[in-house]
Amino acid sequence: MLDVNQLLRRPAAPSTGVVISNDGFIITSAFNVGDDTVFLTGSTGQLRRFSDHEPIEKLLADPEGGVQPKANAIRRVRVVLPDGTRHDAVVHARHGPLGVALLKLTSPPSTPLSPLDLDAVASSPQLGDSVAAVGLVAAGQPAITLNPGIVSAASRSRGYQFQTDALFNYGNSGGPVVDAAGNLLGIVTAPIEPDTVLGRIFPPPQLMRWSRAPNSGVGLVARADRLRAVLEDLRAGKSFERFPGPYLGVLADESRALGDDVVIGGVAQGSPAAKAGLRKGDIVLTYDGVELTAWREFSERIAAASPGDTVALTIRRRSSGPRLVIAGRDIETKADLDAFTKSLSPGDTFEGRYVSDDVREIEVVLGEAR
Amino acid sequence: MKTARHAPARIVIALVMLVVPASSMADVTFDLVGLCVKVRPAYVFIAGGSGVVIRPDGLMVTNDHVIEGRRRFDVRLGDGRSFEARLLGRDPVGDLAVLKIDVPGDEPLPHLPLGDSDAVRVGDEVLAVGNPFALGVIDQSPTFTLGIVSAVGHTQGTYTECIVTDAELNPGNSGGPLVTTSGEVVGINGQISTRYGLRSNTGLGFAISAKQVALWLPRLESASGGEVKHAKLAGASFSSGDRSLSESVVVKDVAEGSPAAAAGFRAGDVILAIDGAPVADGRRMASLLGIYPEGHAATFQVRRGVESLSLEAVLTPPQRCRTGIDLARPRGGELLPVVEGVEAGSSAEAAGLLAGDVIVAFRGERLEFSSRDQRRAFDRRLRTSIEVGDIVPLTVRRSDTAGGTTEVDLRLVAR
Repeated sequence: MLDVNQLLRRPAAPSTGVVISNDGFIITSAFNVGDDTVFLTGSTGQLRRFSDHEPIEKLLADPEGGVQPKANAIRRVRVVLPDGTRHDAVVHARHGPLGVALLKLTSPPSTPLSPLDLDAVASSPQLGDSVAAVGLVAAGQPAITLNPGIVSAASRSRGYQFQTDALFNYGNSGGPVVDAAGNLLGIVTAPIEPDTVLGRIFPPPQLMRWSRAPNSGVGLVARADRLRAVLEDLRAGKSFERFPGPYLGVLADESRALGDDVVIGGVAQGSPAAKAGLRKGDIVLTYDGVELTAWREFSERIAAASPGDTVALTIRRRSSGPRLVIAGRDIETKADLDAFTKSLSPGDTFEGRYVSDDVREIEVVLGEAR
Repeated sequence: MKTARHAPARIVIALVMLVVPASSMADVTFDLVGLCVKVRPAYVFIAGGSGVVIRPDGLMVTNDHVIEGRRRFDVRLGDGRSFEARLLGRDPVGDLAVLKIDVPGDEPLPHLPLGDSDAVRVGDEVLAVGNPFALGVIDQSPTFTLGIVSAVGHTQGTYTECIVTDAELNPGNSGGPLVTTSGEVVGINGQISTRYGLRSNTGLGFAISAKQVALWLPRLESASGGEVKHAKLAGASFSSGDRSLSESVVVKDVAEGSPAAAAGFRAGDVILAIDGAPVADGRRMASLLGIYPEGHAATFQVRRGVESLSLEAVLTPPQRCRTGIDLARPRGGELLPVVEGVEAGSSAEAAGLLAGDVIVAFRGERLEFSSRDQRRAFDRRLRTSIEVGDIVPLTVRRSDTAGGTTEVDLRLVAR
């Protein structure tokens, strides 16, 4: 029998962290202390067990709706220091884009710690560099493990993370990745892609439903240089849910990301993009008049802007037929017309055009990610 | 209270920094950073998978399963430039596809040459480049994984003579190159072993050899977007069967007028090598013959008595054909196939099969069935595995031979 709960979620066994200060701050992965999901049998509420070789797609689409995902909140964190002493800790701050959490011991230990000075050892990864991940094997008496590998990609997640082919298990999560000189390159994030496990938020025909699993050789690591840059904020108790900076609220359509087209794959509810009327399937042609030929160009331009900036986008949206444009607003549905009528005052004059073009101009006011 | 059971306290074990001896790291004895820089621009993002440019004119190779069912091919090179590609030819069995990237102004593209996969040795370091889990699509940066050659000459499904590597391969690596430390493509990564339905690395990755790619390239390039077929030596039967181990392969029979006869094969010839690769047994021969396209002229090294000869045979694609045997439906406890009728003018008639004959052995293999399913599988095999030019030895039990058996050879001819 294979316990899919063991396979897909963070197991109860210990994972790793790094002491970074004498006052009891410890860096670990957000995955280690994040809320996760367990699968329960609907009728009994017990953990659902699955047999070998059941494809995961099938498990998640259990007939009879028998499998219920359930949020599983983490309440306490216990830290074992290198000298073997046990301490309680709280989650002090999280950084979503990095995938790390800062823990703080609730009471300082009686013996001095030997912390790692991030300022002194944080270093930047280079594609092809030799690296090693330090982690734990948790069976019986925990032992420290070393897994060698190379830097597979120096930049992932907008430069917050890098990728290595060192094999990661759950015991690696939160542990350090170092280079041949012993410099700290980063902190291991989740050894598995939790989103994939739950079925990604974006629907088919998006990317195949793949699951990045432990030992896949695809390991994402929070970059130490980026961590160092935000450490002060984290120590002050400030958490970052999203990529900091300007926020638009769109996802790429990854299935069409190879072509020249910048295709919107999804729009977050209530986001600046949603307010401006961007829709899934829209193709972004220009950004402030500059032609776009790759999603990366689009995301880099947004990243370089400031929250509150107004950005002019030209988009192409296949429409079913000609539409009315009044005072720069598309009147396509009854709701559009009602909203427009509501905005009018007696005596207002306006000009309307009947447009058959698929290309539209949209203005977006960028928000701020928090 | 159930929730409490599912929510144990998290235990985090804190580490202080360890000094890691350099010898514990991946033991890279060459300039890996430089190799990655050199390899990256020739890598191709295509569909959900990978490909590699192997010629400056934009000729690229990928897996057939990467491009299957698609008509438009938007590709992006590892250097970030995007182009459109045209499909030139496919081999769905060997899982290869060749495309041409159309570059405005015929500007030469960065490429990696095909290397000599016969020179690859177990233990050689190899670099795989791919797009696992499509992580690189948005930030346009492929994934590099380093490993060794774990085995060569391996058969995995329809891949034969393939390279096995422990460089981590995952979905999205398909079609990407397996590169030597000197930057040559020795394989096209295409399959992995998986567990638990989790499609991710297990340390067993399979790459189509560069030798196979080179053999197919001229034909795939000129296939106008169509398929090229696999081929084998038609018209010869072999004593050791197709699958037996540690038994030399001896020509048992040669069909008149067949490609085998035209090449000069004779009964009793012992196959020593094909295109220079030694043939130790039937399985090895099947593996070697698995990499050839139709029309390939293979050189067979054979021993005839005390002589050693070189025979050149043109390999032809299998043509399925009918045997002319009508089998009775299984009745009662008798699961062995019973001939109910023989079509006039068929190979079965020419071989002298008679209604009422019970087939007890097929291609030298004694038939035993413990279920109707097994029997049905045999019926399917009889319908689908027999090809023009085949010589199929059958042993039949005939009522007039008083319980004894008769050997017949079905010689399949095109009709």
